[in-house]
Amino acid sequence: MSIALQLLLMPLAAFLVGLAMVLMMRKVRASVERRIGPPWYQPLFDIYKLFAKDTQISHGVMHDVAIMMVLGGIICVVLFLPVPGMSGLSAKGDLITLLYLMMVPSLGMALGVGQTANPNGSIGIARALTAMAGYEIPFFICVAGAALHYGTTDLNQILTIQQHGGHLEHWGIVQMPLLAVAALFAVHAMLGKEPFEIYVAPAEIATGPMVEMSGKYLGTLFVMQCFQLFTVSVLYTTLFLGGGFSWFTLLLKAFAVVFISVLVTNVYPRYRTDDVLRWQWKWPTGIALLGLGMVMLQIGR
Amino acid sequence: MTQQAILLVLLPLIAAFTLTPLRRCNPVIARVAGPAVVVSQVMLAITLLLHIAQLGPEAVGFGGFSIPLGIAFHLDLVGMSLVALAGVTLLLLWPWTVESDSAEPSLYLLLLAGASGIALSADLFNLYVFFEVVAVASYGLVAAPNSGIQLYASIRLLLFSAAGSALALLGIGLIYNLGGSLSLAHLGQVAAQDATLFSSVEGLSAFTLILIGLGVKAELFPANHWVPEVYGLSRPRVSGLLAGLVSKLALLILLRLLWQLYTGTGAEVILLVTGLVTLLLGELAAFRATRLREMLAFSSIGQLGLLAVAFSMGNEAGVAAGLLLALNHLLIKPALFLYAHNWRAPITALGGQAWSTPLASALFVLMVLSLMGIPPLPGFWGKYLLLKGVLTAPTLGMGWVVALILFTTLVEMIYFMRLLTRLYAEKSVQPIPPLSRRHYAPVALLGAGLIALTLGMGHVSTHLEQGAAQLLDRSGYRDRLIPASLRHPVNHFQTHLQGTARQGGHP
Amino acid sequence: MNAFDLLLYLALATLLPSLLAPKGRSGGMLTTLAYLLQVWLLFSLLPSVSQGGSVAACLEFAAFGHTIGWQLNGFGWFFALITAVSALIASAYATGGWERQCDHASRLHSLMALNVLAMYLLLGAADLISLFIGWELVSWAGFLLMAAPGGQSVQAALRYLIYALAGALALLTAIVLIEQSSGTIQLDALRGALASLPDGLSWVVLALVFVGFGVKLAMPPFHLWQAPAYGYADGPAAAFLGAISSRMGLFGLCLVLVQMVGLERLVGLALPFSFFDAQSLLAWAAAITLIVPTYIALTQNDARLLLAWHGIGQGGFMLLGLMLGNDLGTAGGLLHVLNHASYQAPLFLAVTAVVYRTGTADLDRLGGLIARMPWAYVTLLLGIIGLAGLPPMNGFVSKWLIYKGLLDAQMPLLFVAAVIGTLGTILSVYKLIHNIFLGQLRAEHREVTDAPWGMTGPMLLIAGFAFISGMLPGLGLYLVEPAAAALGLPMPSFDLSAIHAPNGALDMLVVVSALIGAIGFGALLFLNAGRSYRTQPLDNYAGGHFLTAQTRYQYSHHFYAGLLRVIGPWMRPWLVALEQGSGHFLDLASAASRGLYYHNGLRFLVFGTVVGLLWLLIVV
Repeated sequence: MSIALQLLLMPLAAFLVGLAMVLMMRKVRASVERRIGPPWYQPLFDIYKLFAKDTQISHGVMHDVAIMMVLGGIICVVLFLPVPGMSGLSAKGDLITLLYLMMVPSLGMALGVGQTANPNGSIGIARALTAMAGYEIPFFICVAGAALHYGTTDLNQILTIQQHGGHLEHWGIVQMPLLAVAALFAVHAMLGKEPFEIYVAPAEIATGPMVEMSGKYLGTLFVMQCFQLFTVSVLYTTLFLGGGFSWFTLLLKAFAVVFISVLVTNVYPRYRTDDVLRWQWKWPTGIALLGLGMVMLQIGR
Repeated sequence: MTQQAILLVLLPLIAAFTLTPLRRCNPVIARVAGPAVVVSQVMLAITLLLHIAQLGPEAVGFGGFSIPLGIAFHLDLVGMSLVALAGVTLLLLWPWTVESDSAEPSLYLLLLAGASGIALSADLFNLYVFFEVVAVASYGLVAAPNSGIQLYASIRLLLFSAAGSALALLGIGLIYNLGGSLSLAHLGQVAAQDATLFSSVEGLSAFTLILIGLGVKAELFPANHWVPEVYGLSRPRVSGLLAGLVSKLALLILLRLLWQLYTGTGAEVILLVTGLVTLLLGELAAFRATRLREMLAFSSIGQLGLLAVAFSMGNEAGVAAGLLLALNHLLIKPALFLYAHNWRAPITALGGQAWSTPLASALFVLMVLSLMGIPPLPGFWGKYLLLKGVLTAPTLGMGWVVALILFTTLVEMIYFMRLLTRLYAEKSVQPIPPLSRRHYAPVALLGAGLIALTLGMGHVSTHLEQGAAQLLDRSGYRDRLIPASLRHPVNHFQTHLQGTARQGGHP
Repeated sequence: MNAFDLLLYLALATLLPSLLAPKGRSGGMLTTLAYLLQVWLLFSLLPSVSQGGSVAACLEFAAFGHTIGWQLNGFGWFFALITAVSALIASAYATGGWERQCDHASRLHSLMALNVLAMYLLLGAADLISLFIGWELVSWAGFLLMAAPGGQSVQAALRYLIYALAGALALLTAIVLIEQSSGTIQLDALRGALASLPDGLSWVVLALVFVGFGVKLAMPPFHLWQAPAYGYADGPAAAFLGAISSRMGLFGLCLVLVQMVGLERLVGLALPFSFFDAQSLLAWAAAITLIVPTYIALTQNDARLLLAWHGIGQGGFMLLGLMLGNDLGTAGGLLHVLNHASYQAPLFLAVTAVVYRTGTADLDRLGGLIARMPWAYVTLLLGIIGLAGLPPMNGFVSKWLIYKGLLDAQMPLLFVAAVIGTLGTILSVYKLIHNIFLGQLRAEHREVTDAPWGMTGPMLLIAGFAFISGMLPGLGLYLVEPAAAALGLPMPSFDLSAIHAPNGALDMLVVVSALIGAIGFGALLFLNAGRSYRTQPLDNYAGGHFLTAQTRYQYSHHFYAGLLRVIGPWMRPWLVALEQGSGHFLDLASAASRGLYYHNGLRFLVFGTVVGLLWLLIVV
């Protein structure tokens, strides 16, 4: 497939899959709360509604640019994430590049929220960044362990190694179980779901960063959430679950990751910021360090 | 030619005593006579220095008697350079504007005579005599303006120094008892034959007594408590002379003794430890000094301690380091004391004073930097050679010596830098008057000397190394002073003396 | 007379314009022109210093049996280029408008020129003594530059000088030891000469060299001086110092550790009773340098101190990369020197522009300036993205190289330590930009305008270079090549836009283009989605109230309260207490010594010694 076609199809696929994940999230929550839940087209309609609003307030150029950065950044991330049949630009940028590109939309949003001059937004961003410092540490330990185990940071090579032979024995989760568990914790926090949802905290700081976002601004953030669900789950699948031979297997694994996340999120309240840090730096980090130690021993042998 | 070396002592000695009657006859000539004598002294010294540099060191016997019965001078690079430098320093710090009936010019000439004698003499008797001459001259200089507190300080110095001299004499007597001679070369020969002679309790005690006695003038621990008092009270010229010149002379006597008689005994360790304690206490005391003069006095103690450490190493690098540091100190300290006379106020009140005399202050900074050991100034080369000397010395425990030297250097840097930043702080409300005109010339000339030394370090380094080698060349020293006929291992005269000494015995 | 001699003479001549023409702009303009000439001269030297070549200067003298001379090789050339460009930008910035409100502008220009000359003398050293001479000159010139504004900067500069002089003493001892054990002081002859030293001596030399050069790099525990010294210096001076001055320590460290000792020896030098060797100890020291100052920066309330603390942290990155010894680490460490200069300078200059216009650098007293000073904001934003190491800036490239180098060298814990440092950086720089430019605009800053173009131009220029060299990393790596060749370290294969590695490559042109393209696409979508209504920055509404400028609602103080509740208890001022304690100990020792001199103690001691000796003589 030509590269131009891939550059068009990959974001589209990511968006559609993300929409489906959002739908799954809402359906599961509805089930837990003994409701029927929204119809299948609801996420799309929500985005359309937001973009169609008449009144949308801009607080300045940076506010607008930030939203463009958010959307652009997350689309760019998707281009570097290989999926079955389309490797996109993943040969030009490896795992570390991908992880840093994932920080660009967050930075953009932080800057845009800053310009809105609402203290609730600023507090939300401060908490979001603090939470990031919490979950990124165990996540990077897992990434380091995985990179060491595979001997490469090229995502295509990682997929090849895991899919070699066609059995499950080369999957990351089988070879590095501790790291996979720790990464699951970190990924859950990365998605910003309860109990690590302090940066949003609707009743406390009026949804934090999203307080001054209306209309298309909020719509873009919604789109970002779709992309983010896709990206994070596919990344986890690529690193630990062997990727997907075909779209079906990939989606099965990706939805499984999000499903676990959603199950946890529906039964937990919110941790305080410092508690998020303490928890993240104790449990996932501890498990990840143990897993890293085991990988090091394996390599040393 | 080298017989003229005696003139180096005689000329200033005679001139010192004839200056007073001359003043009665013709005051104008008397005023000029003193400096003229010093100038001719310097010229003679330089001529002899060039002679030695070409032909090597020489020994000169006087009065037709050969050693060990007669008086002899040993002319080497370091000694002759010291004579020349003494003359130049005295000339720079000459009391031009003193009253016509003052005794200072005579005292200066006495100092010169004594300095020449110490630098060139080769036996303990002479060294002691000339040391006393220098000491008496220094008492007189400290007391010269006859004002109350300086007289008081001078008398205290006199008493203490006289006690020190008595101790030194006792030490010399003990050495005579052990070695049977007062000639350094002869004693060196005895020591070379019998290594345990001077490493006995008696020998080392003799050395320690002399160390304490001469250490009074050499500003070494524990005999240096007079330093802050005297330097703080006497005039800057005198403080500069005492710190820069007289201390080095006392140290030279000690070193000649050390290298001829006491190599390989524990005396080097005694000198090393003394030097280290002097260094440590001096620099620490300077750290919280309240006035510049006090700071310079303690810094001078510290520097002398450093010199003692350098010379006690006993290798060429250490001796060269000591020589360079001594030269650096000689150039800088008198100038610094002249500055201190100007900046008399407590250091906390000196804020911003440097801005009113930019050039002079720049020179002050240069001198302080050389004292601290900043390249490419001579002080840096001295510290570099010192570290080399310490780290190549064969004895153990040099790591501690290095650590102590580095620590005290750091302390020195801190307090000097505090002083400099205070001097260059924002301009103060009350500027003090600039350096007085009669101090300009000596300071400027000493500064020029420092800069010349920096630029000419390449040439000076070869001469320093040569001088250091000559100082350490014990056998050469002995061979030059003792005629060949007396150079055989056993000398009946010596044995006889030693026998009677041993039997004559101790109480 | 070759180009290197010309460079030294030109550097000396650069001192003159501002001394001879203290008033007016002509001194500054001539100085800037002179720096431009220096940069041109350095580029003309590139062919002679690449691939291990060197250019010897005519300046030399002999003393104590050594010939002391100067010679520029690729490694020194690399640092010299960064020095010249930093000085050029700082000088152009000062001349362009900053010096209008400075009463010591000519002193600033001449002192900066003195610093540049001193750095050339250090970087071009051909033997240990000229290295030491250059080192002392750099320390002193730096002290003078830091102390130039007066006031609280003098105390900070004095503190720096005391640390620097202590380090220099350790360095001198190391030099004497090296000379003694290898018999020569010529740097060319010393290549690998220290690899055969016995273990004990090697550790002593390593420790002394670490102290000597680590003071300049501000590696813990010698890091307390750098932030106030750089933070309180004049704006352009702070930019110059922050960009390159501390990297002189890295120059010296690499000279000894890589060139003289060699990384194989460092790996072989094991610390007894542990699994550390010298190389991993140094790498961990670098990692601590990365982490601790970065989190101290997080807590700062003065923008300049915050940036200065970050400067210390990034030095840790550079040393970490160079200690790895593989091609990616080397390239990353050296490239980070260049990249750091290219984003640290605009950061300092932007903050200085803010201080120039508003009079304060206190993060709790600023806010919302994006509306009034947009160009300063753009510069700070580019600098921040570079400092945090995010694409598309060049900071990302050097960090990527170091990360991959760490993974290739199988040091995952150090990788995580580096990540911890980066996370701290991201948090801290967001606080910086938020508290100055985002949030609520203060009433007193309503009339503030952007800095004049003479100031904005240079800082945008250098920030633009950071962006371009991020997109085309080959530019930076091309300059790094001579340095790596001179050190004898390998370089990865690269071309103008990409770095090739078998297990994960990086093509920055593609990444940046994809990013910009995607943002452009996002912009298309966004702009076509309907009009938005622009509000006034002072027209805000929250919780049922209209908020005006009189109500202070900017969230700036104690920005990371949650984080500090967790790590706050870990950040005790141990070292500050140690430093102050040492000062008090010296005072006490000094008082004791003075007491001995002024209160008859010594007299008793003399008396006692004499009596003891006489007793010894009589009895024995």
